[in-house]
Amino acid sequence: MTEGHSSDYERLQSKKSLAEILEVAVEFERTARDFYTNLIPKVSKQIRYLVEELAEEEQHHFDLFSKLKSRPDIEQLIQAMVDTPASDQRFSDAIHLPDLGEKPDDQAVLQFALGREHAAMEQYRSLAESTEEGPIKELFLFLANEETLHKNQLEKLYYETIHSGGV
Amino acid sequence: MPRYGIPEYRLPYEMLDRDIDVITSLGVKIETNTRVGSDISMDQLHTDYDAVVLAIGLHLGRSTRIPGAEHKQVCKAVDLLRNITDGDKFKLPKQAVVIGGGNVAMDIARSLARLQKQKFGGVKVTVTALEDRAHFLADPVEIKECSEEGIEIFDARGPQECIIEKGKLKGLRTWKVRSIFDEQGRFAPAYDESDELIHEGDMIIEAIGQMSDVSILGEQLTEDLEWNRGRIQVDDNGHTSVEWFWAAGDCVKGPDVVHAVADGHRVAGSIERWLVGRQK
Repeated sequence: MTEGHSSDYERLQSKKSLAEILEVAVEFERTARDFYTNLIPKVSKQIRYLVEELAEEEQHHFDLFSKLKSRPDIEQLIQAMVDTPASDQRFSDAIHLPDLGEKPDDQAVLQFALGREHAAMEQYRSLAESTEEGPIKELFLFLANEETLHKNQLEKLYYETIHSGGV
Repeated sequence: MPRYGIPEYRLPYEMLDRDIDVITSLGVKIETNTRVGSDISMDQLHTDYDAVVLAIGLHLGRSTRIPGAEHKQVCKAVDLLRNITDGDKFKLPKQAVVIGGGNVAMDIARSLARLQKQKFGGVKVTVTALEDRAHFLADPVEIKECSEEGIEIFDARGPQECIIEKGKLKGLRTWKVRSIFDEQGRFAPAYDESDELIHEGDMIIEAIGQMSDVSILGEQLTEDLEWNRGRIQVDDNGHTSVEWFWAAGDCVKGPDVVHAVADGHRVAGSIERWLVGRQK
């Protein structure tokens, strides 16, 4: 393969349709929701509230992102091609879920959740940065804001329970 | 908890023993060296007694889980405080780094400083805290006295790694914390990665959060109890959702010996009323 072909190929790979991006976003939330839901009966009742809240939050995001896809103004743009940032692969990888063990503790669950929220937040922020002003940029900013809000809530909880709890 | 969690210079063992003597003189029998869960089950306690009170304090330390935190020379403040109280032998660090900005961090820093002063004639203890001085969790007097004892305090430092070379602990790598809370006052640490410090030390002590060892409850009682965001749910009198079970002190309200003692009084009254009510 010549150099020219290679760069054409890379350019093709660095673009995705908005439909594809939203599909990955919805899948990201679905896998997280299912992961936390399956974890609920496994963890001690002491920390079950945490996993239940995470599952609820991911369900909320799943519903929200699914509805976005079918919004009339978004539907018109669904085939638009968008530059994907360097974080794209990392974000897609985050869909694959690790094994936290049979009985993970609250710290392991929170660290995992924070990592996922951070990956999602970075992804949508980067997408927004590489998109021109307009409804698609606004959509990515909205998604980034949603993930940031959740990450902030989790960081607060991490600080209260793990870092400063009991000192 | 008062004996193992509070250094003797703050709460002399003699004073503690005096209080315990008063309690035992009233007819209270104290069984020591008996671990609930292995030496005696919670079920057995329920069978043998009408009421059971859980007042187990916060004896487990949290870890930052940063890279290198599993090294044998990285320990938790509560464990080290216990060793010091018990007089257990441990290798006193020539240079110690403490992670944490709460009262427990100050307690262990000052305890080690005093031992170093006795053994080496000088103090080499560094405290690194995530919070800036305005947001330290420790009481101001503790911070002031720490400095007076020759302990170096670095505020707004985020621990990144326990540095290990050829199996030996060398120190702690930290980054400057640009901000710890966002504009809404929520915890959201942001680091300045270009401002890195290596705090040398042959021992790192983690003095961040603490928790209760609720594993002693066993699975059934853990399920039967109602919980409130990680802690056992109790009413104003320490009564849990399980009829025969009360919980009090640090394990339900966080660390504070004064409130823990007050809890004891409330729980005793509640149990008495409950027992009298059952006899009617």
